[in-house]
Amino acid sequence: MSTGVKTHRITDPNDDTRFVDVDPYVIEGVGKSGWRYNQITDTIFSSYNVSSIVDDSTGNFDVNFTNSYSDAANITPEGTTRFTDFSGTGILAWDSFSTSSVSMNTKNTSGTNSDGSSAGTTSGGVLA
Amino acid sequence: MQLQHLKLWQRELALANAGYLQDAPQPTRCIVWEDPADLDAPAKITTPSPQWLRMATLGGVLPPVEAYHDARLSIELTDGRSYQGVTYLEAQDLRLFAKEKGEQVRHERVTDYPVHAAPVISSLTEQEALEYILKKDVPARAWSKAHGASHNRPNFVIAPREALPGSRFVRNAWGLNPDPASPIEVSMERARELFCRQVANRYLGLEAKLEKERGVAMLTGEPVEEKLQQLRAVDLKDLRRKAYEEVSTPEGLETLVPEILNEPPA
Repeated sequence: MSTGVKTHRITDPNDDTRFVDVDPYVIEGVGKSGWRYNQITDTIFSSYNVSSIVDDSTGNFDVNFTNSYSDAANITPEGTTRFTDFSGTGILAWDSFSTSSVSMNTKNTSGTNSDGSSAGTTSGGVLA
Repeated sequence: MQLQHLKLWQRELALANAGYLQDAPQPTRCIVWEDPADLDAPAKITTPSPQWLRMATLGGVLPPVEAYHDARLSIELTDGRSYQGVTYLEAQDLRLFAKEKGEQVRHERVTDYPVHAAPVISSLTEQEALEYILKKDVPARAWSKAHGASHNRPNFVIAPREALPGSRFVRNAWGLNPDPASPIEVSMERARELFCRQVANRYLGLEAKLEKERGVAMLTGEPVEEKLQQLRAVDLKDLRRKAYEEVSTPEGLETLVPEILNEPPA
């Protein structure tokens, strides 16, 4: 017989709306994909759980996951994003999610679609 | 290393921890494709990640691509319609259907995922790995006639990455040319439109930036005024005329960009 604390959910003692389910978040963990991508040279520097990246058009690209997420609603972007281009720092945004891919968009400070030289982020969630 | 008993994501983690995925070389090939559902869109370039490619060429890691196709999903659209037991490939069509109807996928969930339990496949060559990625990550409507791919001309080509244009200046004018040696054809009509829009955007962006820096420059002595004068000497109407009357290649368009608008980030 196993020992230790047995619980299904860990809840913030001061706020019942803040909780994490033990299964699968604690057992399976989070932080399930990550990448760093230069769209100018269409080069993936490093990645985890990424099978490919699609260069769609200027400032638009999709990231395909090796292992799908179990639920698209539970994918959460984490970590940092970096992006530089002709006009300096820009904006990296998550356009849309599915369980198997995510669409990204990069804009320069003028709000125009622009290729990023170093876009990187991680996403968490439960994998299928 | 025996990995079959692990979930797919655990296999990647195990390989990464054991150092197998470090310094994975960049792929030499990519897939250039067009979406038959949106032929006006620029050609898309799908490139495998170096770490995934290393796993494919090692062998004993990945499931057959059919295991992905056998996955089942439940999908609910914003109009309230709900679909159960949808296959991986049908899900691609449903997402497109939703987009064309102005709807969105409200909820998407994987209900069956045979990827982990499927037998692992042996080592792939890079070409075979690209064919795998085609069937996994490119919508079937681009590569399967049964799903809507063109019967008259291929909607994709696997090509050396070095055959792609060196400059992305008119990236949104790139179209598919189903010849691996030269997989991109540029629409000069669209390239000229892009050139004019891009130059105008750069002009306005730089002008706004310099105007903003003007006040500070009075104290720091930076040559902002000089740059503003150089910028205002740029004749946008004349550039447009040259783009349409004097230039016939994308490279020619790029040479028309005034030096001040090619300035690197500050």
